[in-house]
Amino acid sequence: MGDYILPWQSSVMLKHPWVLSAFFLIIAILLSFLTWFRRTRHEQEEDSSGNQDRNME
Amino acid sequence: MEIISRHQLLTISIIYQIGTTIIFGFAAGAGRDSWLAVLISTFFGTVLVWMYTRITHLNPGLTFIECYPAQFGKVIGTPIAWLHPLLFLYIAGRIVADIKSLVPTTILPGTPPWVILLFFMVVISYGLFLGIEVMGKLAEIILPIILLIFLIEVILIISSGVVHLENLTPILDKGWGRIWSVVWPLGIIQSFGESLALALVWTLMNERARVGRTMILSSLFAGLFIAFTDAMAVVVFGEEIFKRATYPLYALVQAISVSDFIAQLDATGVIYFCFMAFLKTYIYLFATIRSIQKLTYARRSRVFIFPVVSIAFVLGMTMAPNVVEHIAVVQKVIPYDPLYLSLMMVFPFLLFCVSWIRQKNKTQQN
Amino acid sequence: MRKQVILLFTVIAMFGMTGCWSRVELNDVAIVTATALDLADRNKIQVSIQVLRINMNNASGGNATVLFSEEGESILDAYRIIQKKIPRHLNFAHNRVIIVGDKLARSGMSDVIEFFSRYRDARGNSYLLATKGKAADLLKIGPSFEKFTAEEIREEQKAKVIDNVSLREFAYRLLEGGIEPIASQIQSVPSSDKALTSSNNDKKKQNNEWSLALVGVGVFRKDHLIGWMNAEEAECLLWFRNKVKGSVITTMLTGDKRESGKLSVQIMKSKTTIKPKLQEEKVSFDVRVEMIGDLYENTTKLSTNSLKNLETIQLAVEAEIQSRIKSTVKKLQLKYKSDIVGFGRMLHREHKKEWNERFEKRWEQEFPHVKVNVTAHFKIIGTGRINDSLTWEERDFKK
Repeated sequence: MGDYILPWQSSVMLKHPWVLSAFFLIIAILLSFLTWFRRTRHEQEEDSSGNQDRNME
Repeated sequence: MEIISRHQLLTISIIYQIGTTIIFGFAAGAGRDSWLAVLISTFFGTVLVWMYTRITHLNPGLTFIECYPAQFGKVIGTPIAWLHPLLFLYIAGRIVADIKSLVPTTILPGTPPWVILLFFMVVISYGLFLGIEVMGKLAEIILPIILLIFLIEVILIISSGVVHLENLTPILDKGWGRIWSVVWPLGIIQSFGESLALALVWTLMNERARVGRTMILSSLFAGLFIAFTDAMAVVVFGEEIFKRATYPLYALVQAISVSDFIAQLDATGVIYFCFMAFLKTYIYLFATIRSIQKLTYARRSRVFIFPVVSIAFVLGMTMAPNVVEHIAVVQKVIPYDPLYLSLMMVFPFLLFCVSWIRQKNKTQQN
Repeated sequence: MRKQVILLFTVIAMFGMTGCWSRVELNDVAIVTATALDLADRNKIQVSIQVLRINMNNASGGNATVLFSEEGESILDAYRIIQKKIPRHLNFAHNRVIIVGDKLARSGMSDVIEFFSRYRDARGNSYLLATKGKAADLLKIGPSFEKFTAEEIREEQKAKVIDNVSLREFAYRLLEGGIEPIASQIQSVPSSDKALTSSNNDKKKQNNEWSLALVGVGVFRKDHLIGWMNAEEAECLLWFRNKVKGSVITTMLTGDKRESGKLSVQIMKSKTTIKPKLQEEKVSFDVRVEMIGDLYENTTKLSTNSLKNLETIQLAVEAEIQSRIKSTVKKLQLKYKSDIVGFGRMLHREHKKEWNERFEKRWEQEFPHVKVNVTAHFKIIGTGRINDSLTWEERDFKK
């Protein structure tokens, strides 16, 4: 099990290539919740101030 | 808002696509015919890159990854979009690991790798801090210099009398099998699939409509360049040595010896490899930061610089204990890796189809 | 705040730009100019290196080089043992020649090539030479013209009087099918009579009475040395490679009193083409040699002013070229069975399908049986500074 901890390492990549993909997928799903959360907040702010630019500094 | 000009995008893309392939020798598995494999990869790769540009065109105003939630819906699209910065971060870590093996092996054997990488990352952070306009201007200035140095190198190699054009014959010696095994999927992924990261830069260009043409131009140019360098290596060393050398193009620079006077130009070669790697890492990290910024609706991107750069640094340092394993991952694992294949080929293709169909429906409605 | 951060970055970057970490000062470096490798007892390798002595105070007199020699289990091992004896850091980047002794070459060159292809400093440009006897002895000989013998050897190799190989070319020939490696043969020869008569060997060598000469070529099969070819044959090999720089061909004419004598021509340009011909299972090669040259010595009584005589001379030279090439190739085929000219490689290029299917694995057995046809063409373009002999006239002999 300790093998799987650092899935980007080449030793893990060579033996269990799917680990990296699974790892990223899990993180992606977790971060999607963050996006959903931030997005609803963003839309609330937009609605309330009505004059919001998406600032791309 | 940052804006880069068309010419700046062109130069950034060319350097990016030539990138790290020239360090390790692209398509070395095809031996003598590697230049042919490169040209074929270029053809398919250019089509792929064109598809990416069309996707951006069909979804005006949105950066590439925002197209996923837009076209596929929030539930499926957002995780897919999040996979991108993670992948980019991983690839950036790979390039850092490349430098970690290249520089100590060739020119700075005594320096501990973390020191070399530390300075590398500090400079990248500074570049990220300043923004992509600066990188565009840098690329504009440096590309002609790089091409000039390369041209001088070629002239010097020819003058060293080590060129044997016959080494390229017989063409297609061992048949097409070798060539196809290198072109698909590794050849296409390596330089052209990776252009996906550039997609996050495209919305910052001032003439949106010309993105497609610019990218096609740069892909073709980069492909020709790589084919030429591969051919040069075969012509000087012959097929067998080319396949076995760890850094064939570095060995090419080492072979220069004109009138016993101009020799030992190794450091020049390494410096320009380092610059290519620098620009590629920069673009990946820029793409990562911009993706995260878009996906978290953050107002400023600067806050992400430090964490992203640190993660890339750690990834690069811990990725591979030696260069053999590192290269083995590229050759054995990556061609079949679901992440690469899906993000670079399958999903964009689906996205393209969906966007195109939606566009057609919209125009029909109008 | 921002300005301080930028300043901090700049200062950190500045420390990185001095490149001091891996620095090696010039007077801490021992530059190796020549390496000699021999097989010692119990399978050890003896490595001798010629190191340049950098005199910072311009003291003249005495040798510019120092010789070190040690035995070790492998080349790297011996090199480490030598490093322990020297206060300076050995640097191979300027190694110009690598000389391999007879026994080591016969037992297999792969180990040598291994080390030099992996090691960081070693360059593919160094010349590889072989010698009968021990290579270490050759490095003891003092230089006659240049500052150190390695430079002399290199200049001799560049003059291309005999076929030469660099390390890179040797490795290429080793790996490529259809061509076998060679190495120039270097021996110590006495340069004056004194060398033969005086008795103290070591002192002789230091006093420039012996010098190094390229006397032939070593023939390899795969990576084992199998024999030597003398200088004439080695010159022929050079013709095959189109790398002639001033060969001299001497031929004798026999005939009546007028015609007999010796002719010497110097070749200015030479072009050799080898064309493989495949007829069912039989392989043959057509070698076509075209040379042009100047006639510089004529001891026959033929007047060089007449076109007819020039034709006779041309024919004689052509015959000589043909016979030399034929005998060289025959020796390669029958005595050594090793294709060092690269006939196989030519066959590969022209008929790759047949090569891949039939000949690639069996070329060593096939090569002795192939037929080689030689046609030579020679054209005289000049007869030197005079067009007829200064000492006699042909009509004196017409009686």
